Amino acid sequence: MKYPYILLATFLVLTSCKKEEKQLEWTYQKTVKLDGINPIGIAAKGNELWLSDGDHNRLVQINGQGEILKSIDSLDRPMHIDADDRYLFLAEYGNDRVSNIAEDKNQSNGFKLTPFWVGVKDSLDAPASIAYFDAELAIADFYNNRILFDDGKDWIAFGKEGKKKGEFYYPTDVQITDSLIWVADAYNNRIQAFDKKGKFVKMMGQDQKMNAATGLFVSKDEVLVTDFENKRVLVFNHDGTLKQELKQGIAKATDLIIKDKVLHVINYRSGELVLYGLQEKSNETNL
Amino acid sequence: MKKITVVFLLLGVVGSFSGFAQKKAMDVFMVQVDGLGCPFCAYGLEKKFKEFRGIKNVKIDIETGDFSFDYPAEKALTLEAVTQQVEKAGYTPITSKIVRANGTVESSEDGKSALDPKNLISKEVHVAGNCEQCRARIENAAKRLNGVGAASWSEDSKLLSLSFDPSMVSIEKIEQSVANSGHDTNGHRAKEKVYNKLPKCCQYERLEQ
Repeated sequence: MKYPYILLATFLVLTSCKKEEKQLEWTYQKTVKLDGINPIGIAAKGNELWLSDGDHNRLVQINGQGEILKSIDSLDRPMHIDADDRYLFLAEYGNDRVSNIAEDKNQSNGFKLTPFWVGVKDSLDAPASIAYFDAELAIADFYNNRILFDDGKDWIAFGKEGKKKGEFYYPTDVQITDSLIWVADAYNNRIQAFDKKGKFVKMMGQDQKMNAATGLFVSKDEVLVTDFENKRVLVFNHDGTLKQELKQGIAKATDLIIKDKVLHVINYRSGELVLYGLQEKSNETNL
Repeated sequence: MKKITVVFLLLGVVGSFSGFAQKKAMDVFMVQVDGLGCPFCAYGLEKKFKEFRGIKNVKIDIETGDFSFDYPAEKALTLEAVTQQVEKAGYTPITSKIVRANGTVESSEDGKSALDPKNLISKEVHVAGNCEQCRARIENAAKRLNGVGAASWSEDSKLLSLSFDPSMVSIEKIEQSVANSGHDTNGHRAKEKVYNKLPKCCQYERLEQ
């Protein structure tokens, strides 16, 4: 009588091992046409999907069919954006302003925009991205070739124009995670990561012949970057090993996020939202 | 009641002045700019041009590098001033043209001789480059020469198709002009200094000479 239990236990152990070994990869799902939107940045505010539409100086909330649900107009070249459950975080390239936006029924358009005071000596020159994480803020200051970071108490600035580690050639996107600040160093064609004192930690993608690394998204296991001119998205491990190259549907992409286990990539020029889902790798090897 | 009438009168006067202001004569500027690889570059150029007070209808085509705007005719803005501003913003103007409010046209290409089609021959030259911006730069480096009728570069084949009058310009001279703009041809290598100044997106893999 013991044997059936032992066999069952062995079977369960083996199948659970097999499941753990399954490798997932991003697989093209579909392209959603965004009528009249040329998206540059993308962010998820709770369940809402928001895009910055630089050409039309607005932020728009869209639905799954790419239709506009809400619009915040009269902005000045909004670029990469961020969001949490309550706020949108906005960087305006044209007027050097960074702000948060909250819903406010007392405002005529239903939103209240509050500019941030940025505690550094020189003024911003074309902020290309803003990132928010647990009361911390980071800004990619495009023409000044630097990153500004606020840990909730003090602002620091780091980086200067150049090709060496820790230097930038037009940073276009930034993201904060638990211990690092990640930067899309656009025309050095690489991603750089820094600690929260601004000290260089690592870089990746510099050997992938990227041509303008315009947007990035960092998940728990992956670092994803849009390679604008080469019409592709590169997916790295956190150690910088290239895992996957995504090309289907990608054309002059500027930004990307993962929301509800779906990768959302935006094509600037053609005005499209491209969706990828996770699927088991076809050539998987089991134990 | 009097007060209300005065306010309406004032509003009318202000309105008619602003209407007059909107109708004031404008010159139209068209510049083809090298180095607008992405919206970040394009909006950057626009930002630097905002320093010109009174600028209107700024339009930028990122793919072609075509940049246009209207500017009050009374300010008599020159081609040189526009060129300087483009360079100040970190970009290279390739061609520029002004259509003045009075109908006269000024162009950086003024002075080019007219070509006789029966004297034109066709040739293809291999030219290194990456993108749409490279295409604009390569084609303009050829077209700016007297004697070149047409120049068209393909991003896929890397071939520059030329139509030119060999009695006015040689293939050597055309290749040299292209190399001077920063792009290697099979016979002419661009100078290191010029190559390094190309926008990052245009820095192609160098050709073996």
